[in-house]
Amino acid sequence: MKRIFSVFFLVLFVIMISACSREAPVGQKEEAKGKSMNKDKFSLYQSALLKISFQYPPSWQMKEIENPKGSYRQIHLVGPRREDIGFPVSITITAFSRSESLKDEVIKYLLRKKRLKDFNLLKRSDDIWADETAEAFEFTYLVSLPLYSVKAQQAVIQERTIFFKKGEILYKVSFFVDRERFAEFTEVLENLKESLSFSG
Amino acid sequence: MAMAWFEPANNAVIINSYYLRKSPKMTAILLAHEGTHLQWKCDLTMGTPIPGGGERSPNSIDQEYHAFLNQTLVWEEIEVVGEDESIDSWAALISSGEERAKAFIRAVYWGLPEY
Repeated sequence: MKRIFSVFFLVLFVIMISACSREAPVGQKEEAKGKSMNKDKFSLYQSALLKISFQYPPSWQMKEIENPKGSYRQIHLVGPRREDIGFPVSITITAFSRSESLKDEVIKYLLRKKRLKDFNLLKRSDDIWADETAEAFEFTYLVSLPLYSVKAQQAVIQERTIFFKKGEILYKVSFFVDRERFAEFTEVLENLKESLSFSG
Repeated sequence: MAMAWFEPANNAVIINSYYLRKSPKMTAILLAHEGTHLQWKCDLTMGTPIPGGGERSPNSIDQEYHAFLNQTLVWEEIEVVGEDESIDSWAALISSGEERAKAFIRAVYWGLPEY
């Protein structure tokens, strides 16, 4: 009987180990669709998908995403990962193909955001992005991390999201990271803002 | 270690014993998540082609999003709010919208293909 139990637990252990390999490898390089060139601290990225260019830290990774329903296109950048919670610093730049007025979109967005656990709006302010009037929000919320892990702990995520319209397209820029590292990476967002330009 | 996982080679769903013992509702939520992976194994397209064509990957950000979405739908349906703070926070995240939820999942599972 003891032997049967030993074999059972050995099989269970092997299954558990193999399950760990199901998680995506961290920091896997995906080839960016664009050109980059070295500057002092930042590289320039030109996106054909969003027809924009901006500067970003060369060590960060990037993906371009098209929604299958065609409702949005997005560039997602990730920087250094905090290993204990398995979460990197992220910036997304999203272009929505169908948009209502800026005000309506912002209200819709905030209503959705308020569903987040312990959502706390820290700041709402006017801003200028790409020579356009923008609305900026800064808030925190709780998410258990690492995602889907038995060891998940409540982590405070801090996010700054900016909305602006360029022509008929609504753009949303979101910068989100664990609260402890928020200040450390705001420079990247500020530099992206200053260098952002539209080509079409 | 994950709370639960799907073994495609055996078509088996493995649930961590802690959650299996916690409550039948928790088991239902995890089965909804892992059952989605099984469902997508049978039909990777799930009726939605990839932008620009091509084949879908065995696992993807899109598939993970739908697994979390189905888990959240069951979470709402059988009213498990407050039983597990992790499940609650992920349900809230999924409820905040597809674009936002996928960005979060992608940040965590960066190596996974989008579709």
